[in-house]
Amino acid sequence: MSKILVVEDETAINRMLCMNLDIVGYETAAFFDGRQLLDYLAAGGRADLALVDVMLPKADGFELLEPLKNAGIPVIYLTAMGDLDSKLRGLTGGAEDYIVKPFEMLELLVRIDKVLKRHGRADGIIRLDGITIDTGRRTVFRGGENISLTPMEYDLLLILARNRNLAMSRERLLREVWGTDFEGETRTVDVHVAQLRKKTGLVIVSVPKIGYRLEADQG
Amino acid sequence: MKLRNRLIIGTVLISAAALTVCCTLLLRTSRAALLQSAADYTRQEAGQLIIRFSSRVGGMGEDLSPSMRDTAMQYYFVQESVRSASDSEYVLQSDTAVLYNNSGVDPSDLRTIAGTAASGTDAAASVLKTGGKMVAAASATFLSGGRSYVVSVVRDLSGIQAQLRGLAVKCILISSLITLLAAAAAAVFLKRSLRPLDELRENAEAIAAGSYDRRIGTARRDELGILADSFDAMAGAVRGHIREVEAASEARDLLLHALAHEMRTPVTAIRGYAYALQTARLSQEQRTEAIGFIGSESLRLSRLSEKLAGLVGLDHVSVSASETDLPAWKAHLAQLLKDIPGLSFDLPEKGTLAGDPDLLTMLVVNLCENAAKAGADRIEVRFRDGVLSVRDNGCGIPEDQLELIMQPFYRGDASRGSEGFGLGLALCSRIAQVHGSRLTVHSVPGTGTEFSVDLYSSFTGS
Repeated sequence: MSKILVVEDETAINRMLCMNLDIVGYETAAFFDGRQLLDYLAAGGRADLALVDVMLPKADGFELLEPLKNAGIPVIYLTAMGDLDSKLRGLTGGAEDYIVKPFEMLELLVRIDKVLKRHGRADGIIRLDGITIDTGRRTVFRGGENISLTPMEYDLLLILARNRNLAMSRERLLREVWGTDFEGETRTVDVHVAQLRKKTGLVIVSVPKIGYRLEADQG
Repeated sequence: MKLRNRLIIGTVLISAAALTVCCTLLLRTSRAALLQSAADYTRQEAGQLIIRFSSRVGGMGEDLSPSMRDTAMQYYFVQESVRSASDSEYVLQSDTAVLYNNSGVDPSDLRTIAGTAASGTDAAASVLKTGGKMVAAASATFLSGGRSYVVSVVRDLSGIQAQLRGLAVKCILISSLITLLAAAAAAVFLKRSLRPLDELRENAEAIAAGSYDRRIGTARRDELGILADSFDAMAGAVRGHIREVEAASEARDLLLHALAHEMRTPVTAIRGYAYALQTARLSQEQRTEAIGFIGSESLRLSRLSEKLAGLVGLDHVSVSASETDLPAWKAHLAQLLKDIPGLSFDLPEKGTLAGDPDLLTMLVVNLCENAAKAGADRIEVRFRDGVLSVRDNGCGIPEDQLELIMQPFYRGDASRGSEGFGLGLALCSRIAQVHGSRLTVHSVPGTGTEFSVDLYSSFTGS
């Protein structure tokens, strides 16, 4: 379970981020100023990634980069300042990425995913609703029983699992799994989803006007 | 410079015309005088000739025949003529014949001249033109032995003509020279006199191009000097207005920039929650939370834009000094501020408030709310001697922040993430300004703060 630190002083945004990350299956910890985060790190706290707002009371967002790097936690900056200087400052300092408010939640999730993968922090083992997915070996188990999936089915399952509880469009699924993006062929997605449902027993709902959503809780 | 050229040409023309007239008159009178004196001289010469000639032929007998007489006269005349030292030509004629004429002049003309003499034996002179040249001719009638003879003297005036021509040429040369000098002098003089016009043009161009500090600064007191002064005054006024406009525009830009910036936060939250509501599987709790936040953040956005509209709108407001009854105002304030802890009033029992009641209400409410946020539990609203003030015992404001706090969107560390946007004090400041006054602040960190506006001076015509 990847753990993500959310360091943001605006309550509304902090809660919003935690909620969305939570839904997708990340473990979150919220901080409302730099001091709180430093205390957490000093006490030996660890995580797989940190989302840090650049403008914080009691500490400049950039000042926190050093301690986080020392703790081995990659950083994505959130900021309202879109100017080039800040961007460069952030990125050359050693942050992984930089996103400007207001942003698309979806985009942030994708970037988080990329950073985690890059640092090998993406979940090796994914557990949901009694199913265990071993991404290292590309195996899927329910209980002790192996579930046999075709490569396409497995990839589809993986992407739905990684974005659990979030609706994803057919086009995106097609693109990510099959690497193609053309109309009409989304029927392939429908067929494979039906197969997955049958084989794994997972709840994959069809969300009108959006796409598919794998609904599951942790474990 | 067309004006200058026109003036120079005018000078040249006037001077040329004047000189022409002068020279013409000069030449004409000279000519007349010269010719007259030549004629007189010739007449004198004729007179003397007659005297000499008559003394020579006086001894001739009375009984000579006409033809004999004529011949004799001719003989003596030729002698006289040859002996004469003068350049003139002599002419002798009788009633019937021309006895001696080497002059080239028609003898009948000479006879006519003789006819014009004052008395019978006087000489008369005239100027004649014959065969392309001018001569002075004098004639007199001479009687001898009952016959009349006309004796004439003819003098060639070519010399005089040449003289006159020479004079004319000199006149023309001198006139031309004078005209040229006049033109040159006019050019120089005008160049200097009209230089301010050039400066005026340069300055006008510079101002049009954007450098509003250029001035002519002349010490002259003539028409051009006055024009230059007026121009400088105008340039000063233009610069003043431009600065005002620029300042207002800058202020507005800052405000808009700040607004755009401040909007990002609530918008980010709203978008994030909307996304979750649309795509994610949420528990009832989560859904409620999401919707709740969307509501409160939207409210925040709308209050933000209202406050900004207030600030921007005040630019165009001219405040009327209306008179609000003080007790009524106190009651109104008390109602608005009923949730403010430890609030008290120090207002006169009777009297009126000089100022825009709505704006001043906004000001007081803002200041009280700020005080409450700063942790005060005793807040006093006071209006004495024309000064409106709000005093609190809150946490105070450090000295280095006193100036900053009046700026839009400045919040100071303490209130980040709270309800305020940092616009309240900027608004109060603007309200004070619009009343012709200033919002002043006095604060001791840890003890309290006092904000005040002096309304007295602004409305009592000081």
